[in-house]
Amino acid sequence: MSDPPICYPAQATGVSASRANILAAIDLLGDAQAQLRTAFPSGWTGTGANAYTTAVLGLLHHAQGIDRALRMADRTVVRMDAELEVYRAGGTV
Amino acid sequence: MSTLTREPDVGWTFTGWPGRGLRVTVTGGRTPTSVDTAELVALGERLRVAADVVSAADASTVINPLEYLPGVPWAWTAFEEVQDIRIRATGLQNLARRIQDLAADLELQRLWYEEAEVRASTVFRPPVWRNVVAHAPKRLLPARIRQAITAARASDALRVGGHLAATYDGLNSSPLPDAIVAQRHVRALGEEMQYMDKDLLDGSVEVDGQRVDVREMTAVQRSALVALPWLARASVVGNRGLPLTTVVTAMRRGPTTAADPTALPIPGGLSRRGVVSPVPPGGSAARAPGVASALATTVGRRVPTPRSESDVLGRIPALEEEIGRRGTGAVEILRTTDAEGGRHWTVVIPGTQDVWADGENPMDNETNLLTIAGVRSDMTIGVAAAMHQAGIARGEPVAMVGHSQGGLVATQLAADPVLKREFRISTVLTAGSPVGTMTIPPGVEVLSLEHVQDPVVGLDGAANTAAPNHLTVAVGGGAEPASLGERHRLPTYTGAADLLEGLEDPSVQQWVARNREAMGAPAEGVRTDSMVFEIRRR
Repeated sequence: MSDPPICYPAQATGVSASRANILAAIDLLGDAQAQLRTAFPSGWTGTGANAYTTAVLGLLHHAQGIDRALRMADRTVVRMDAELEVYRAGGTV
Repeated sequence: MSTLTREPDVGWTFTGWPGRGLRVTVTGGRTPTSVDTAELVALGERLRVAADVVSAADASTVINPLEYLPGVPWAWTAFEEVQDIRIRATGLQNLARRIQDLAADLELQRLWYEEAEVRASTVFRPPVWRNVVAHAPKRLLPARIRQAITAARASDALRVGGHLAATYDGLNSSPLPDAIVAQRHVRALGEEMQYMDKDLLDGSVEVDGQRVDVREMTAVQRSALVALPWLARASVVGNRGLPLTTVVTAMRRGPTTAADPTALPIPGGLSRRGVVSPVPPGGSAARAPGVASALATTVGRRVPTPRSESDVLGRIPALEEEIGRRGTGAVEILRTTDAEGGRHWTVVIPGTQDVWADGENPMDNETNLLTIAGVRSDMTIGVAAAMHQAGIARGEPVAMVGHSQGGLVATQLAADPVLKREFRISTVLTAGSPVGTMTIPPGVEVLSLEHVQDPVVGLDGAANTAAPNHLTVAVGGGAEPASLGERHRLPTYTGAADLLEGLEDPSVQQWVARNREAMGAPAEGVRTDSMVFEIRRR
C-alpha cells in the first residue's frame, strides 16, 4: 500500500506547483498499483498463469521502487519550497 | 467466453529476455492448465488501464527549476533527479512500457489459445451440384445449366484468386501475427477449394497409384490434394517438361559396397503404397515407381558432437549449400557413439529447396502438399531409406530435427506405423513447420518451434494439437520483420532453439532432457560421425 502524502510545516500556506505535480504523480502511481493488484489471474491456472503472476508481481515491485523515489522527490521539493520562502523573506538559506 | 479444461492442456511461459523483447508461449505438454480466454481479455484491459495511469503519473512528475532560481541554487540538481525518476531503467516510462508489453503478451496469448481451440473440421459433405456436374452427362444437361456450370467453374478460380489476394493483403496490413493471419486464410481457402477436384467427390483420390481416403481429412488436407495436379501441370514448365517419379537415395560420403545403389532395395523400406516393400523374387523393386532404394553403409566423417538443439539446426545451412550445388535433396544423419559403445542418432532434414513438383529434387512443393495431406512423399521415402542405409538398428534412440518441410517429413516419419517398428524415434524437433494436421503417436515426443510472425507455420490451417506429447513453443516479439517471410528463415529458429534451455516450463525441460539423451549429447567421451545422403527422384 502507498503511504499517505506527508504534510510539512513549511507547506502550511499552500502547495507549490512543483509539489502539486509530485503529489499528483504519487496519487496516480497508487491508482496504477491498485489496478495492477486486480490483474492477478483467478480462474487461469498452470505454468503460464504462474509465469504471468510472477510478471505482475515484478511490475508491482517496480512500481513500489518508483513510489519510494517519488516520496524522496517530494521531500526534496518541500526543502526547495522552504528555502525559496526564506530567500523571498530576505533571509539566508 | 471459452474455457479450455482438457488435462493436460496448455501452458504459457513469459520470458523477459533483456534487450531482446522476445515472448514465448508454450502449448501442450504435461502441465495441467485451465484457461478462460475471457479472463485473459479482462486482465489485459486492466493492464492497459494501469499503463495509461502510469503514463499520466510520468507526465506529472515534473518540477520547474526556474521557479526556484536564484534563491535555491541546487534546483537544477533536484530537477535532474526528478527527471531521472521518469527515464531510468527502474523509472516510470519503463514501467509503463513493461505493463504494455505484458498486456501485448497476454493478447498474443489469448489469440494463440483461441486458435488452439479451433479444431479443423473433418466433415466430408461435397455440395450436391458438384456431384451433379461431375457425374451427369454433359449432353443431357440443358444449355442454361451447362452455362451455369461454366460460370461456377470460373467463379471457383475467382474465389481462389480472391482468397490469395486477401491473404497477401492481410499478411501485409493486419495487426494480427502473420502465423494467425495465414492460418485463418488458409482455413477459409481450404473450405472453398476442398471439392474443386471432381475425382475427390466420391471420398477417395488416387495419388501416384495409391488410393487415398479423403473422408477423414481436414478441408486444408483435401485442398492440398486438389492443388497437387495444378502444381504438377505448372511444374512441367519449371522442370522443362521432365516428369520424374522414382526416388533414389545415394551415399555421398564414405565407401560404398555396390556400384549402383539402386540395385539394393531394402526389405522394409517404405513405398508410396504404404506397405513394406519386399524384395521381389529374382529381381529388384528399386526402379519401380514410388519405391525408395538404399545403399547399406555406416562409415561417415567425424564432426563435433552437437550439444544443443540450435547446434543441430545450425548444421542445415551447410547442407543447403551442398543441395544448391548438386540440385538434389539431401539429409544428414549424425551417429554419436558413447564411451560404452552405445549409439545415438540424429537425423537432420532441411526445408523446401524447389518450388515446383516432380523434379529431380524431392524437397519441393509436391512433398509439402503430400505431407500436409498426410500422404507419403518421395522425400519421406528417401529419408526412411537413408535411415536404413545409415545402419540405425532397432531400439537405438533417434532424434529427428527438421526446418520447415524437414519438420513435416520428420513428423510424418515419426508417425509412420511401418517405421515405428523399424526405428525408435524418440523425439522430433520441428522448426517453422506447419504440422497442425499431423497426429503424433504415443512414444514420440514432438516439440514444434513456431514464430508468430512466420506465415508458413499457418499453412496447415490448424493450430497444433495441444497434446501431452506435442509441445508447441511459439516465439514472438523482437524487431518487426523487414519482409514477409523473414521470420521463416533458419536464424530465427536457431535463436528460438537457444531459448529452450532457459524456459522455466517443466514440459519443455523434460523434452530437452529426452532429446539430448536421444542425441547422445550430454555424455562425455562421445564421438560423432556425419553421413550425408543425397536424395533424388529419377
